[in-house]
Amino acid sequence: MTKSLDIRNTSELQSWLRERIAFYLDQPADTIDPDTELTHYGMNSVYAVSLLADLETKLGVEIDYMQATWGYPTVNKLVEYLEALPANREGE
Amino acid sequence: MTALLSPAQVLAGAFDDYLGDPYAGGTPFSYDEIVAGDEASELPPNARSTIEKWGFHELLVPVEQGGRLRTLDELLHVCRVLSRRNPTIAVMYGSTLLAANPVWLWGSARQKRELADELLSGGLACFGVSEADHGSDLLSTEGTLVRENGGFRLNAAKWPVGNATRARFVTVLARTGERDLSLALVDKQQLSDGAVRHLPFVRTLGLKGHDLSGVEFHDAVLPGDALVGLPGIGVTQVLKTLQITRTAIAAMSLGVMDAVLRMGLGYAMDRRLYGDRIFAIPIIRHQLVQEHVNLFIGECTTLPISRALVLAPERLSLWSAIAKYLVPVTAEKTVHNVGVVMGARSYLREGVASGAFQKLQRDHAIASVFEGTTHVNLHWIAEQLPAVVASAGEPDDAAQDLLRQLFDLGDNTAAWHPDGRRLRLANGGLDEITAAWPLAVRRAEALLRGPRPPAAGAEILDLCARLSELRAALHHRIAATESWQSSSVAAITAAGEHCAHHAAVSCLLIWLDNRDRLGGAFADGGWLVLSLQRLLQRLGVTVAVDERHEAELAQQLEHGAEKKDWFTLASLPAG
Ligand SMILES: Cc1cc2nc3c(=O)[nH]c(=O)nc-3n(C[C@H](O)[C@H](O)[C@H](O)COP(=O)(O)OP(=O)(O)OC[C@H]3O[C@@H](n4cnc5c(N)ncnc54)[C@H](O)[C@@H]3O)c2cc1C
Repeated sequence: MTKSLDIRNTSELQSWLRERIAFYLDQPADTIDPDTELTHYGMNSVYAVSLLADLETKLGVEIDYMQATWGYPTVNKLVEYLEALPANREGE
Repeated sequence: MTALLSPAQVLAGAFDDYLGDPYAGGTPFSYDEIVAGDEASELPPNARSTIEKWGFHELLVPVEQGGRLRTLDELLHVCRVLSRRNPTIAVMYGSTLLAANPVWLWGSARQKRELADELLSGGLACFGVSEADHGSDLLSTEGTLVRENGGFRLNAAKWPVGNATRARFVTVLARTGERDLSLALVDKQQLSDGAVRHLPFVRTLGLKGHDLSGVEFHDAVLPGDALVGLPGIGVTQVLKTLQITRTAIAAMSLGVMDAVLRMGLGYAMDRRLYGDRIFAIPIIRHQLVQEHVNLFIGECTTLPISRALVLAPERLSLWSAIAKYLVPVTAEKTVHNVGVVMGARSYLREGVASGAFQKLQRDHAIASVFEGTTHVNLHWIAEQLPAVVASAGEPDDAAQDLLRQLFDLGDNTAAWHPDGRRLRLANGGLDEITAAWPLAVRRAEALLRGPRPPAAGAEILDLCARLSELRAALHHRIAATESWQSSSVAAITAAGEHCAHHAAVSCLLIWLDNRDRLGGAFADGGWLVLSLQRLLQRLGVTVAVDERHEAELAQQLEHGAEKKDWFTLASLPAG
């Protein structure tokens, strides 16, 4: 997975996350509501780790897995978390 | 066969007639040959060819792939008929279906065609997921599937797995990356010598003659299109696949319940002590009637869930776990209690029903273990409970429509079109069935106020009121738990209670939605009183036995034993 996602583009980030989550759950992306907790979809911690690892590769950032999984449990919250990452602020 | 609970039973009825009376003797599906096969740890001679001649194996292949698998409820009834005689054979084909379903759900056109050809010509398949050291912990799977020269190199040891030696095709779960697990379809015939090694048959308590063994792949080279679906979602695929066969295992339990009840009842009619049949001894009659009630509860719970594969596949993650937990453990109790009635005869490998009771008991013991143990299923249910309770609102029009289609068994559902993306890992809180409880109780109240109130209406409402209280308390307990730990003992206990409530709604809705069509004793509702009482007992409530309804059902049982009808809700006498 090459780095190609723009962390400052909220809608791009959101739709990429929905697509990726839908991939792991094997269900259509439009069934993933960005404000619903991912555990409601049966997204367990292991897939969450896979998702966060994908994000690290894609965005070139470092993510605190524990903090991201427990503190930011929905697509929109994850977007907020990513946008607030220090690496991102430095890049601005 | 007299009455039909559902047109989905027609095929199973024909199969039942084809297999003949298991007590008659001298056929591969009569108890004498079944027990002889069990003693020799073999399938009875000609057992496979007999059912293949009928086309049983075609039921493993969906209609769109050229087979006869139309709906899960149809398959379920057929599986029940087979398990009533020989669960070993049901497991042999069930394991094949388990291996085939990922291909029907996600496979390529080529994979579907090749597997369909193999199964339609009588071959078996193997679901190679378990590894000796990891059991339920799928994420620790060690087998590897490494990309190489446009193909894959497979190294894996799968044990204990069904049909591992006899099957040509194996659906394997293995690691395609550090974090990625994927499914591949392996055709053993395409592998070079030495790439596949079979492990010896495992000696087991029951299912004797089933090929429970293992398979090892050593640097097996697979073609580039060997994956089933996309890489990286293997565990999702396995969990979704299990939703279908977990429901079918409940049917196996129903078949065994049916068989042992018939044995117990036959024995109670024939055995004379103190100058009368032992059926006249109150506690014997009570036990047989109560176990029959368990069968009703199992039917009411399982049949709507099997219809959900077509009508609401998005709900099966929760519902299939409920069927898989509740029906096998209920059946275990039934088998045990009928064994008590049969006394010494339950312990003999000869005599009553040629000694088949102990064979069925040993075979059935697997039902609560494979495809997720009892506790694993309860854990899956517990994970979903807070969301289910939070969204347990009144069913809207769409939900009511779905409920009617699930519970009115008078109509066949459309054919199943396998599509993995319609199955879900979790219900997301959506559970029309248990949410329907208040509505179902109101419908029962309205019936009682109507022009032709059902005979047992008042008792039903009284029991509903008690169940409503327990349900409210359970929901409150779940909602009030601040950080829900789904693996805690409290959560697992709550999951078990939730299953009893699920069964109670199911019984009530089956009654409401099929009364007009079935009429008679079914519509009167004595069976429902006994079922709800049994579920209350399951929830730890002391309930006095309703002797009047027990006596009625005892009479019906006696009548059914003579007629050799199916033991089902539909065989309750017409008005
Ligand atoms: C007859 C037979 C046929 C089989 N057929 C197949 C087949 O075709 N394909 C295949 O892949 N496998 C097959 N298996 C293997 C079977 O699926 C596994 O045995 C099953 O998954 C359980 O694994 P285990 O026995 O190793 O128990 P473990 O997973 O080691 O569990 C040990 C104990 O821990 C409990 N436990 C585990 N996880 C949890 C949890 N999350 N919450 C609470 N308790 C938990 C269990 O209930 C159990 O009591 C078969 C097994 C048998 C006996």
